[in-house]
This record gives sequence, C-alpha cells and structure tokens, in this order.
Amino acid sequence: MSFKRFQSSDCSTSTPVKASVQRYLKSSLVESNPLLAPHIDSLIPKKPPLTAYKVTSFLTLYTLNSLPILFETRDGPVLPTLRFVHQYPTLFTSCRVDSGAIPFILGGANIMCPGLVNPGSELNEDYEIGQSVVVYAEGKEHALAVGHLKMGAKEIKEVNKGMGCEVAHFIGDGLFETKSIE
Amino acid sequence: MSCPAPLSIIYCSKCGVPPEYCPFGPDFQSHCMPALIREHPALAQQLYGTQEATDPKSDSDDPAPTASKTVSEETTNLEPWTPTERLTAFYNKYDPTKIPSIPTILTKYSGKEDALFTALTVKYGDEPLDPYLKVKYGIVEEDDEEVVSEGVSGLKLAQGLATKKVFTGKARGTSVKSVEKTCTRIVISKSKLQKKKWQTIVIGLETSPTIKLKEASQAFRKRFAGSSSVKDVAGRKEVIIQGDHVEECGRFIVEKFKVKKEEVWIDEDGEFVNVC
Ligand SMILES: [Zn+2]
Repeated sequence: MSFKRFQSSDCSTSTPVKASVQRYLKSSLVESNPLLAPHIDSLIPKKPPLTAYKVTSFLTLYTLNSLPILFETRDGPVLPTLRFVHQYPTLFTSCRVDSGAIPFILGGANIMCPGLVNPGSELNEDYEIGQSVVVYAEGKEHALAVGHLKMGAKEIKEVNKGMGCEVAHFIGDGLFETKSIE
Repeated sequence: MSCPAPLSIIYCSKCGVPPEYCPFGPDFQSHCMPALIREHPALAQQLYGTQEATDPKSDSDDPAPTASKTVSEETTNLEPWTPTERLTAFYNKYDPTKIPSIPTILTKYSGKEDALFTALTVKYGDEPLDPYLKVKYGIVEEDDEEVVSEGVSGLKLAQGLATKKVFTGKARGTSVKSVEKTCTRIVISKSKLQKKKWQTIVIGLETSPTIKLKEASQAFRKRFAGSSSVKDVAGRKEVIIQGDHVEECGRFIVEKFKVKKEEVWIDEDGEFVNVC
C-alpha cells in the first residue's frame, strides 16, 4: 500500500465524516502522537466535519477544508499527511533515518533496519511494533515520509536486518502532489 | 493551551518538494537550483553555501548608490543582472564617463534593451559577462566557442560573422539545445577631425553575409565622392568615409546591400537610432 501512483481523481466518492468517526480518528491520532493532545481540537475542530474519500477498499483519505490532512489504511494506524506535518513539525512522534536512506525513501522504498540504526539516525527505544512515525532525515529539516514500524525499536536495533518501517506516504508521491481535493 | 501557528513552508516552485530534497530529483541543476537562487536566495545560501545575491533593495545600509556601484570581476551575483547593472558593467569597461547618464539612457531604451546592447557591443566590443550566466551556463569567458547565451545576444557580435549559440546547460531532464544563427549588426557614427571636418565610421559591415568590405568601401567612394578606406582597429574592421554622411550612408547600405533597416544603427552621440 502506498500513494506512489495516487492521483486526486482516484477519490471518487466523498462523504462527510460522522461525529463518532471523527472522534475516533482524533483519539487514535493522539494515542500515537501524545504531543498532539493539547492541540488536537484546534487543529481538527468539531466543525466543519472532515470529508472522507475512499481511495481503495483499504485506504481512506480525510480532508479538512479540501486539504488532505489524514489517511488511514485497513491494517495501519491513522497517519497525518506530510503537508500537515510540515505545518506542525514538533507535534508528531518521529524518528530519523541516516542520510544514506533518503534516496531510497524518495524512490518509494520502505525503510530497512540499518537506516534506523546507522550513525546519524534516531529511534526512541520505547517505540513498539506498529507505532506510527513521522520520518525525518539526517541533515534535513523537514520530514520526508510517514509510516509505521514493523518491529519494536529494540528489535530493530538488535536484528538490524529487513524492513523496519513501512512507508505509507513520502515526499513527491501522488498524495504529496495533491495539495487539495475539491 | 493555545495551538501553535502553522509554519509556512517553502516548497520548490519547480519540483514541489522542500528545497533541501531537490538534489534527489532529476531537475535539480537545470530547474530547481536556478529557481531557488532567484526566489529564495537566503535559503539557497543556507543549503548550498552559494554566494548570496546582492539585492539592491535589501542592503540599504550600503552607502553606494546602485547606479555607481562598480561591478567587480569577483562579484558572484547570483541574480541575473538588471539592465542597470548590465549597462554599468559595460560602461565601466569601455567608457566610465557615460555612467552618470545610465538612467536616462535606459529610460530611452526601455523595452528595447537588447537592441541597445547589441549596438553597444558593435561599437565598443564584447559585453562583460554576467557572473550569473557564468554560473548558470558554466560559461568560460575566454572560450570563444562556447560563449553567448540568451540575454547576451550581442556578446560576440563585434568579432566577425557572429555566431549566436543558445545554451540551455547540461540538463538531465531536458535535452540540450544549441541554436546557431548569424546576426547582422552595422553601426554608423561620425567623428570630428578638425573644425567643420568630419569622418563617417561604419563598423560591423563584415557581420552581413552579403557585404564584402572592399566592395563596400569602393561603393562609398563612388556614392559620396570622397575617399574611403578599410581600417583595422583593435581587431575589428572599420570603414572610414571622409565627410559627414551618416544618414545617407545608412540609407545607402540598406538599399544597395539589402540589409534590413533593423540591422543598421546610427550612433548619434551615444544614442542608437535605426535608419529611417
Ligand atoms: Zn525542486
């Protein structure tokens, strides 16, 4: 699953999000990004409701005033879009990859463990499997991807092999190019 | 707790990503970098350590007025020169006494700057090269083969049959285009020898493919009933005609040698007017 070839025309049907779903989206976002808690109601107010776009049977995109801000996959966490993250860079749970991983991520690859272990990278030891992360890069200011961990942070460091983080959305992909959906 | 204000992020106007990620894209050299330097010089400086562009508006504590600012060889101004800077650099090289009248000249030639520079290069010689273009196109000034690019149309015109090459750089995404064409540029001026004695000077005749210098000189001799000669001045050919025949000579060149009116200028004391 990724937005690599996503286009805004893939969003065929839009529906206003029910209040209960909106509450669930916000609470699950806060759960994985605790720093967001004090601000969530001003960032995503009760009204107007978010608009939901079903992209595929297992991927839903949410917009606020036509701007894509969140998305959710069937098996993954609720994730913020990168344009949303760039506006509030300090409020999301994050990790950092070493500079060698940047071209791979921008090419649409998932993050292999060494990218989160090598010198220059940062990964909080307390993160557990499934944790949603905003991915920063060594020597860069802005986040370049969002995704979720496929192993716990401790395991990633121990094993240092295979996929450590599944990337759902990265800079330059179809979702990133979609600044707004009317 | 109040919500933090959203940061406004600069995204590359060419490829759309935050500029720090542009180098990973295919169009970095050809599109992103020039755009970033133009639109966000401070960020370009921060990211790539390039020299900050000197914006005349921003350095207000600079006591030197813009018009008299000398553009030194070392200036790596990463914005293209404004017409003022371009003309200042030009007169700085050839005739600094003209520098004070630059604003007047540019007002007169507003919108026709290229014609002005073309005429100037024919009269004086090569334009000093804009450092921005040096950087942008990797132009080496001494290299006769590779110079001249968009915006510097007159650069090599004074050297014989000028070749105009348009360089679009070593682009990865775009194909490298190189356009060649010849440009005819003739400038006629006069100079005073003694009291009431003038000579008419024609330069750039060799830039027309239809004119042979000796034949032209002969034709002038016949037409103006006076002596006319071809002179080699600083590597350029000048045809000198005795007497003040500036305007007639212009018309004569257009009629006799089938040169377009737009390609012949008359230099009226530093001002260039097309033959009418
Ligand atoms: Zn770019």
